[in-house]
Amino acid sequence: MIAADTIEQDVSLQGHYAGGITRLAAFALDMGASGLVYVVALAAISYGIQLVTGISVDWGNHSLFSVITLAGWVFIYFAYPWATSGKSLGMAVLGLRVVRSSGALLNAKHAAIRTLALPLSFLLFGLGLVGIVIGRERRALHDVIADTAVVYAWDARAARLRFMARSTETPAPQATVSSRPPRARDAVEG
Amino acid sequence: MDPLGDLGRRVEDAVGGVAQTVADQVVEQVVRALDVDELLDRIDVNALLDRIDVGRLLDRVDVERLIDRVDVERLIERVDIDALLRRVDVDALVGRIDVGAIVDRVDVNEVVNRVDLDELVQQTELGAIVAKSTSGLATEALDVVRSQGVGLDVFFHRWIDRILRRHDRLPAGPPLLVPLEATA
Repeated sequence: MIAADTIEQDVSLQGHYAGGITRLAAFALDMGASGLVYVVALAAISYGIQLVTGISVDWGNHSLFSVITLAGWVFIYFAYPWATSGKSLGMAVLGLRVVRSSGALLNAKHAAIRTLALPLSFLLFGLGLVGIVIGRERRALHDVIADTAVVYAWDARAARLRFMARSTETPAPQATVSSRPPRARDAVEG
Repeated sequence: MDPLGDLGRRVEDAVGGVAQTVADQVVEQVVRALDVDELLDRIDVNALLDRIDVGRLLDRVDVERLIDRVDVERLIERVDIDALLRRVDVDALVGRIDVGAIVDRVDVNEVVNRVDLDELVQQTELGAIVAKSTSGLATEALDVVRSQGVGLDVFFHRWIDRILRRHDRLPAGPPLLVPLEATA
């Protein structure tokens, strides 16, 4: 259950720079999802080849092909959704969005640059990610290179309404939200 | 000394006094004999009014002074408002109002900002409608995950700021998304 003051905070923080915990969780979710899709796709291709030709394909013997296809797949997995909606699957779940450093929408060029620069942040034991933790704008190296930033961008106001509706449906606790007027711009809807 | 001149002045005074007395009595008699109503009936008032320069007459009227002497409150008390309103064609009046122009002058965002959403949801079925139309197990789970994530972020970065002894206020977000006053 979400506390009333927490949901107020969620609404007020929309459009603000996202923190390291949610960004890490979103990235982990993305890597898991992309890896799972890749493995399932390879297994499906192997199964198809075996069905048609009767030859069992061991992808371990085609490591170069595997690496290239994996790299290509990961590029498409991140770059396409960033270019179209500003959020990958993991970011959509965690309610994050990539925008230009000014706050404008991301275009295909900057989405591609950000995707290509992403591995650089993991070099030297993830030194490029330190900016998310200690930086004033919480930007990693790939954010700086691509001139991007990550912000909270989920419909917190709708979540607040749902929370309030649930509170009114269960009359026991006095968990009503304070009766101050709502803010003018509550959420950055993706 | 001029004896003739003196005599003349005395005679003149005496005759003048007699003439004044006679005139007063004659006028008195005429006024008594005069039927004023009959006289007024014989006057063609319209012809008289046609000869009056009303504009010039009004120029000589001190309107401010006239208004000062009018007891407006008493005047209003004597007006039968209900009777007046009964004579008003409200439909025609409303028909002459340009609602579009009025709406154009209304700052809708300001109106929305003044709506107490909490009160609205609590006093109406709006909250229940929203909950039924949008909520599900997955939505509720997402709400919780996102909210917990934000909470953890705030907690984590608060400690980072303490460790770094950073007391100045950091930029909250990109300038297009977060107003300057929220950052400053």
